[in-house]
Amino acid sequence: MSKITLSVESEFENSSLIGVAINRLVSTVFTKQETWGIELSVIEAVNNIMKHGYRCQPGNPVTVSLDFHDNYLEIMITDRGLSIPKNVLDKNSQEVFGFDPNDINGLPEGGMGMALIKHNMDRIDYKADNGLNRLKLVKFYSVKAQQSTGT
Amino acid sequence: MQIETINKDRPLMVRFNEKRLNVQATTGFRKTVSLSLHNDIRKIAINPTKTEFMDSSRLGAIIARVNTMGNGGEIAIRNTNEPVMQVFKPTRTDQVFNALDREEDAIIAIA
Repeated sequence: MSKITLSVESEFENSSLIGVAINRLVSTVFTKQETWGIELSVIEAVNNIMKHGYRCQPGNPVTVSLDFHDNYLEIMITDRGLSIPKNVLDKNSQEVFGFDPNDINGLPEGGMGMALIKHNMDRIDYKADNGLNRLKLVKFYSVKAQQSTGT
Repeated sequence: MQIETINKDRPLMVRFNEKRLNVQATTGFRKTVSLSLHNDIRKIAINPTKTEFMDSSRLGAIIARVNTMGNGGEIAIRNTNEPVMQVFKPTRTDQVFNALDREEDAIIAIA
């Protein structure tokens, strides 16, 4: 098992840095489509922290840790901003993406980040305790990953 | 980002030249398209061929543009870019926009 931690301050240009780093790190053990999905999930989570958790205020800490376990990748994203509201966490993808494609006036302009994370990751878990928010994302290795790691 | 009005009767052509379409670049997109849109333009063709990554903020900005145009507004997107379609497909917005193989097709489809 290997672990890598990335730490940035809450500035939007840093979410791109995180995204590029995540892409390079996970592309060695995931397919191209899975890699895009993981990169997108982490960026959506980090953007939400910067936008909603820290209300666009720069200079606050965001860390992203990657744990490469035998059968899965665990990503832990931590921050000290406002916690994710329960109604946002509990909303399922169908509620967000269940719109009528023919009803142009009913299309959602936002609120898609968490639904995209749930779509792309296998498990998510969220804890807010003593001012520290921890979002855990889990993705099980595909066939390519298991061949790369020899499991 | 390159924006071009082919002529007043044709769709507004928007080519995303940035490799990464993220929350940082989205503010510029909203402003530029708003400024470029003539009041009677209701059709936009988007070509994201050079894009390697797009997050939901850019998708939200595109949807906001559709909502602003209201009924009769149309957006067509060249769909050859997998990372971009990675955002469109799970959100089902690929069913909202005309997703076509060639830029010319996108323009013709909504002309």
